[in-house]
Amino acid sequence: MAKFKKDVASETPEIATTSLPDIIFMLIFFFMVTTSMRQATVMVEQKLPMASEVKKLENKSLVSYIHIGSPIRQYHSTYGTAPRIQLNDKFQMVQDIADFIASERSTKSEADQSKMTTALKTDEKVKMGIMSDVKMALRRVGALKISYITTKGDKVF
Amino acid sequence: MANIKKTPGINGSSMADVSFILLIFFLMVTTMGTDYGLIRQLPPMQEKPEENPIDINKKNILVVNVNQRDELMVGSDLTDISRLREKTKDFFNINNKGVEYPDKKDTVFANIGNVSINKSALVSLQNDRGTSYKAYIQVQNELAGAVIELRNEFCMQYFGRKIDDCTQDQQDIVSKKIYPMSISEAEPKNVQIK
Repeated sequence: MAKFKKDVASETPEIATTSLPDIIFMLIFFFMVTTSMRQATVMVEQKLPMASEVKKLENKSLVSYIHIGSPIRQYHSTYGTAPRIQLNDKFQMVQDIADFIASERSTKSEADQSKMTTALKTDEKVKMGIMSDVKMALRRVGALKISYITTKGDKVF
Repeated sequence: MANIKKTPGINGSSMADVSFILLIFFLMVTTMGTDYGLIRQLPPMQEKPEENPIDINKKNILVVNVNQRDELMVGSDLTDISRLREKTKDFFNINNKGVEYPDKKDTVFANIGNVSINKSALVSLQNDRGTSYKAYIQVQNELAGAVIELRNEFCMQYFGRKIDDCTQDQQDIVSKKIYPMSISEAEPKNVQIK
């Protein structure tokens, strides 16, 4: 008859720590991938319209965002409910777009400046009046490549 | 009688593999908030707003007008948004050769042959300052969709595949010469409807 049990004093086995670095690396990579630098907090309500013929926005480092919509609830007392333009972290006026584009341009190399895109993230309830003011301002500073950011979907109407 | 047993240590060498699988999983699954959008090129600013001297024939222009109540007018008819795509396709289609359709001109393309393309067909998109952004995007989407569908139909007919599967040269010819995205935007009018 085989002997199944050894008479050895119990020892708690050590937890293998060799893979700990891997786990840490994994976490690091995960956070590196998901975190995007200088993400402006959106201070306007945004329900993007839906479109089907959309293209993916390439080269995110060359994209400057302009958010347009009515301020979210916590800013109602200060900024009201009329649609506003948000550049970086501040509510600004149409005249400030020129400065915004200029400062965005100055951070890019000359070769990349022509490839810059302005992404307009606009709430679907906003009227076209403010949009055409923004487009006019962009034309004036020569930022001609724009993208109307939408959600992707097939049921457009 | 208590026989005390030594628990064998867990083999940790495969932990690295497991964690790599997890890492790859997260890399694939995590979206970095990808944005999708309709890409457009704005016309450059003209210092002197000159009157358009070219009197384009009316049949070469399809006027698409969205008013402040988001009602859509295509040509001279009040239209529902669901019919805009079909109407735009009908207008741009190079196979429509009747007198009421835009002027055509015969052009010879390398590897394709003689195609009669639109000489100067143009969609003129007009909107009001009170038009909602949603309606505007819907219209832009339908116009873009119509042109893309026509390009695909052309490519199926001549090359036997969709435009995305064609060579770069073929794509350039179709999207720049045969079916260009000819959408002109007028400055919005501020019309008050009482």
